[in-house]
Amino acid sequence: MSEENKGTITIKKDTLWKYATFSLLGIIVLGAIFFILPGNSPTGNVVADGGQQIVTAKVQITEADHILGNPNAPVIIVEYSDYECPFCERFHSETFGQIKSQYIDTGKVAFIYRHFPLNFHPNAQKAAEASECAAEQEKFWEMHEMLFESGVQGGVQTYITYATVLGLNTEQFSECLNSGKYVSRIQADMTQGQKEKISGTPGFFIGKEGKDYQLVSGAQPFNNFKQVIDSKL
Amino acid sequence: MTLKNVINSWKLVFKDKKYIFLSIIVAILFYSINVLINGYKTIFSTYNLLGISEAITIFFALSTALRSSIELHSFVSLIATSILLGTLASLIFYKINVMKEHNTTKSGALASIGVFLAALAPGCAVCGIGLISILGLSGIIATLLPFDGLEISIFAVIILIFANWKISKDLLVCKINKKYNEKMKGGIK
Repeated sequence: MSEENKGTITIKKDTLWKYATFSLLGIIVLGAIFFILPGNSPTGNVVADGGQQIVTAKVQITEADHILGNPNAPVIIVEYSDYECPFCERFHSETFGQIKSQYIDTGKVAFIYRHFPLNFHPNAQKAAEASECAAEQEKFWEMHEMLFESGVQGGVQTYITYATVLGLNTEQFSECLNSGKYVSRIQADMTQGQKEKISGTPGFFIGKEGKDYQLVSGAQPFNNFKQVIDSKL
Repeated sequence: MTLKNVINSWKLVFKDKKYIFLSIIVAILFYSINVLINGYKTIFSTYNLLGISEAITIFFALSTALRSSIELHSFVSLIATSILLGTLASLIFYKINVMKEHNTTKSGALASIGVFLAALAPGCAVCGIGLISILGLSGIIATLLPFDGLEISIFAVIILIFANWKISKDLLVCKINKKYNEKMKGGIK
């Protein structure tokens, strides 16, 4: 080796290419692993339990919540939903009935409905307000049922028709709906959902009051809910 | 975001034979396109000389003999890509079908198109890989890349795994728009 080449490392162009490719692949694989692993919840820890997400933050139940079933039931399900979301409708038509008959009506589960109207669903916000306006006249669950079963197409006019069908005072209902008095109430639900880190609708928290809640995401079939509920009972 | 969600989604979709069938069809179709790209000169010259039935026979012969005409890693990645593209197609169609069945407004048609494009966009990046060879770029790639194009095959498989994962984890939800979410967080304290 000549004096000039001392202290110089020589790498073949081909070898350099291979190292570069391996490094790139390594970065891609690491990126994929980082993407796949669950993150942390802003309100508490999220731990992996056999692939399921358990939210250790306590889900707060307030006076404003709409509760179906025994309020002192051992297990609570909190649903975040949007009346215009097809998956929320799917949950309502295919799964909710079984949960109601086997767990809510038997006093084992208290079901809480919270609003999460998504911004890309044009009729969802007013539909949520319509259900709150119906709640003023003690008909929240009836309106809730009707919004899912008959749909939200047509917006405000459709909701007024539903109010008539349900025997509500339509003048009071229309005034309530036009005033937007429940906008902040619905936003409060959404803020709570964001704090509890739901990623989409329908999003469910299943657990016991004051204990860990498990997040179930999406319109899963009844058996998936059954497994989680039974594990909490 | 969890593995459990992904597994549940796959169980739900593939318990329906219709979606298994769709996956197989899409996988065979993608494989066949690659066979066609690889041997189109032979198939077309056979068609010109001997007619359609012989061309079909040659096509099937090329399909079974593809393994020996390309590198092992290319063949393995082609099989993996075909299967993953098949499963991706089934997951997309399942989601669109659910949206159509349970749709409450007309905006659902647009949403379905949105889901289709959003899910297919990363997945179909691999569609271009077959085109690379038809454009005569495979030779250039072989000389330029240190692993004779193996890196592209691996990249295609990674993209498809990512696309499958992404649609599976949110298969049964209306996904929250994160940007809007951040805006809401800023606005409501």
